Amino acid sequence: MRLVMAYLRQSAIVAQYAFQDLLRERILYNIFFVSLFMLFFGYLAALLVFGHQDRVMLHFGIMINAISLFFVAAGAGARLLRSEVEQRISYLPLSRPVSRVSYFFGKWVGIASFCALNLLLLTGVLYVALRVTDGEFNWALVQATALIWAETLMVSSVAMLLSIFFRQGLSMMMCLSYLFLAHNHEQIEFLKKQAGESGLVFEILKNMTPNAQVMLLDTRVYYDIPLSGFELFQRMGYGVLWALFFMLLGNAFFYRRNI
Amino acid sequence: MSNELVAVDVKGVDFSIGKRKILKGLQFQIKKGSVFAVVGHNGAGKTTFFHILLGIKFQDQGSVDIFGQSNSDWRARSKIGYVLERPYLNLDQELGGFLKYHAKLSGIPYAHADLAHAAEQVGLQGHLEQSLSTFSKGMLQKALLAQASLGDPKMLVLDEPMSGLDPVSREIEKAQIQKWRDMGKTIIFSSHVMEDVEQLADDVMILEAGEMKFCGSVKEWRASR
Repeated sequence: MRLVMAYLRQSAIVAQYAFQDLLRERILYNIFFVSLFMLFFGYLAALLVFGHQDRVMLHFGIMINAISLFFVAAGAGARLLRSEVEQRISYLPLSRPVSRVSYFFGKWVGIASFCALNLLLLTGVLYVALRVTDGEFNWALVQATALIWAETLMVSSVAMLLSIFFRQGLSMMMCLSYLFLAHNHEQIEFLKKQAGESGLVFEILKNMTPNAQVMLLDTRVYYDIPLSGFELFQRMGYGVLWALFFMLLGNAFFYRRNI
Repeated sequence: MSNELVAVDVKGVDFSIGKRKILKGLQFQIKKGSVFAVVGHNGAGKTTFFHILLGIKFQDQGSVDIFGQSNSDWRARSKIGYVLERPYLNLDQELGGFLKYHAKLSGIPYAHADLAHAAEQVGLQGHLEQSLSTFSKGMLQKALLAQASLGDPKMLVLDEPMSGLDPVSREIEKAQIQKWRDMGKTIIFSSHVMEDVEQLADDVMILEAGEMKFCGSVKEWRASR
């Protein structure tokens, strides 16, 4: 029990400093202002529509929240650990009584907290934009926001796993490509059926990627059809479990890696 | 040597990167409370040995025990303070924040006064609020010394601690090492400067292309030359 507490304490410290590092790098400001800019265009587009301007605004809002968060998660995941290893900054913290498991996990928790803050701010902006277009902040939107966050956990863990082996840019590109596959899970299934007996590649591809399509709630948000509590729990759990799987895999590789 | 007197026990350590052997069959012991110098040319494997000692890299073969605990166990590092050969640090933080981070990572209870004391010991009093990005190389080296001394470690591992320092800073650093020795701490340091080794060390190990060419007291080493 004491050992578990020690691991958690170490992870919390690493996470706190990782979070502060990310804040210092001003990624948040960049994303935030880009999002403001895009939401403004969303608002302009909403003005061009006759009726249901709020739904156009919602469509833009969710899309922007998701895309910007995926970029932040992939970028931070690909960069945070990799740059510390490349610049040898990680030597000193790792010479302290800190397990590699806690270090790796702490970095991930730092990114997850940073993404949560980013998402909260963007959702706040979306709320203001919705008020301007006479829209309402519905429960399905809250659920969609929670699912976007669960997906960022997945994205950042994949990016961190890849960053153990590849440079920052390549890790980020590979991570976003993987995310693209995950968002086309049903299409992969379709291709597998089309290919018939020679569809082994698609079968493998499908089994190696999470189905990120279950994390999207856009249509439900437009028509305010929230998920039941159990469904939300299932979908969030699905995302978190995949994220933990990638985390475990990353930890297994990082644990005995010479840096 | 009785196990109770041994701080570090290195047994048959090999390390290679790809096909290149960096360390070849290192085998020696470091006495508790002694000052142990690792001497060798650039690329001899001094820093790699320190990294293995600290669990940053892992030996291919052999074992390293620190106060009876394996180097692969992160808890073994709770008694060690480390100074890197170059200030590889995140410079976007203040000295106080940097010291606080390392105190927290080591689970050392600290107060502002403890951090101020650590800074004062190395001549950085009044710089706690200053960003590391504005520090000179010598100041960064002192900041590393301050973090190494946090929590009263039993052992200090100093990788070329005096390289690039001006004469005054070198003297401060030497005085600090002597002070630590008087406090009974085990000190392992690497250096190219024989004068420093003769002045500070009790024992010395000569590394040449990853192989141990000599390991013994400074007196024996002098006699063998």
